[in-house]
Amino acid sequence: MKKSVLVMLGILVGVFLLFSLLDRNGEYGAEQLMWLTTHRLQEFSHDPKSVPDQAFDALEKNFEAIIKRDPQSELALQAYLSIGRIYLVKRSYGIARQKIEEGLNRYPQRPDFCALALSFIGRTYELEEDLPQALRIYKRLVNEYPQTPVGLEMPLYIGQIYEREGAQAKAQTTYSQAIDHYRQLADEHPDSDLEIRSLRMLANTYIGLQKWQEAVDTLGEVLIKSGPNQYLDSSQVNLILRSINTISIVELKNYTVPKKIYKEYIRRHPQDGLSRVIKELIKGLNVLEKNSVKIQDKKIP
Amino acid sequence: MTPERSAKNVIDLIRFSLNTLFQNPLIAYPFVIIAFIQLFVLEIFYFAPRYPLSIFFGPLIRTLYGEGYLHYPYNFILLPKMFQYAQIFIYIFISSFLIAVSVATIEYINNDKKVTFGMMVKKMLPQYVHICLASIFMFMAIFGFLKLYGLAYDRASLIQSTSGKFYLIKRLVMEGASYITVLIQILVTTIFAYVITLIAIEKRKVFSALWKNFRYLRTTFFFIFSMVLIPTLFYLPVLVLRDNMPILGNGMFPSLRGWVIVLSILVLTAIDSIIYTAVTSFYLLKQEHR
Repeated sequence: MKKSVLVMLGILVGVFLLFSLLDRNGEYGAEQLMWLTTHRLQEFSHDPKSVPDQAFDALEKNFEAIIKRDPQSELALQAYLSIGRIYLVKRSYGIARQKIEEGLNRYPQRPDFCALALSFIGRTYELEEDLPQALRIYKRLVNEYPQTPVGLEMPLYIGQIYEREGAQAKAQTTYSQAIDHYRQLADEHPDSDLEIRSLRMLANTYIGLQKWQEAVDTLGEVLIKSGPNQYLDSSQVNLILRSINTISIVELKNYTVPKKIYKEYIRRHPQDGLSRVIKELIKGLNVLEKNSVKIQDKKIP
Repeated sequence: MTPERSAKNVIDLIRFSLNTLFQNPLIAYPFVIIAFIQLFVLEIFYFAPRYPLSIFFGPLIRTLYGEGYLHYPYNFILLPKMFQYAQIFIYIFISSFLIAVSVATIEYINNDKKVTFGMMVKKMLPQYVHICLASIFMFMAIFGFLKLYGLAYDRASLIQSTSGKFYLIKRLVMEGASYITVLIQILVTTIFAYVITLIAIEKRKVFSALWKNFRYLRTTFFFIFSMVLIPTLFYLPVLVLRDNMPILGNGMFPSLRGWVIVLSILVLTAIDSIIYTAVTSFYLLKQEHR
């Protein structure tokens, strides 16, 4: 019996060692190293001045090891950005940009990564309070990588920078350009994920400008066009529905606008599961509308 | 082998069961096999996102749960879930049978008969279907109680009070989920305490064993409940550890979740061995006194 217990232990240890060896060069090991190293970097970022340089160097070596393991993997791209983050934490912005530019030159065929890298470089200029350079980079990002997730957010972000700096006229111009940019992207890529993302950014721009009617109309367009195509996940759909309701009721004080959007959705997608939810929403809006009329009708003594 | 002192003392019976297990390791051997099988399955699931097992498990996990769970550290969120589902099958088709083998071994040793593990497995094989059916009934009972708890949970979530007895009830029901689940398992183990013993020793069919089990329980329910509860209390520290592990990204290594499951397996197997040895010893004592 003792022998069989030892055999069982041996099997457990043997299987563990065998599978660990078979996957020693696999992605899992790199993911583990990535997570642990990123975690340490986050800890260091709380008080970077108290962390010795050797500790940062060790992190950089780990990220370089990940890149060396498989230079074409997604992890390698993340590792480049993480190396940049090390120097960001150390406030060595010039070196951070240098490291990121190495990645930019190495992976010109990866637009999502290049957009993130440019966004990172722009951020370092912002931290150095060199806004002209930051804006130059962001505008380059919009021109070269307009369809990436980061590139899509940039036109709105540039307007927000101008607004933050008190340059209202430039901010308004930038917002108008952003509106045209998003509308053009949406029109050029119908029935696609890009169309939906562009329209969502357009809605966000209108919300930033407090153009409530346009915002609600655009959100309605997003909802109806995304429909059963599954461009949106359930949390995004919930957010859009809440936004439509809140803006319509609180800002526009109009219950007809959202009901019109929802009825159009049901008309276009009668069999969609969301239509059932939207029917309940319409009922809820009817009740709210009735109650709000009652409150308005009450005379104030 | 059976205890000489009165069987009314739960602590003495549990102490006696521990001594029995140490003096007769053959009784504990089936539980060692149960622990081995569970640990082996856990190991397979641990390596499921990695080559070469990812060839088989990868598409399955991707379809059922999403791509993210094939990567570190999110595979550790999925690991306990997958293991929990596997445990149901392991218990119904393997663990319950091995528990019956252990129970039969106790009876043989008590009657001073020669016994080997292989011999007891052969003797229990004709009862395999009844043992599996009994464990299915146990699981159905657990699910039933969990459903009831779910209803209580939903009702508690509607309580608006922020102080007083209703607030206390709300907190107890909503925050004590793990502990209430363990209590349900203790209750169900008690309710079905004698079933496997009756199938293994008296060679009864499942419905006959269930009927006699409930007859025995009529007069011994609280005694058996204490006998199941006391060893299970040793699982509480593991439960506290499991429930208070920080969520991913909050400072703890994600792989710690795997080690907590290993600890759970080892502790629960030890607890089960004590419980079933105690229940069987108590049953044999009652039979001797008849």
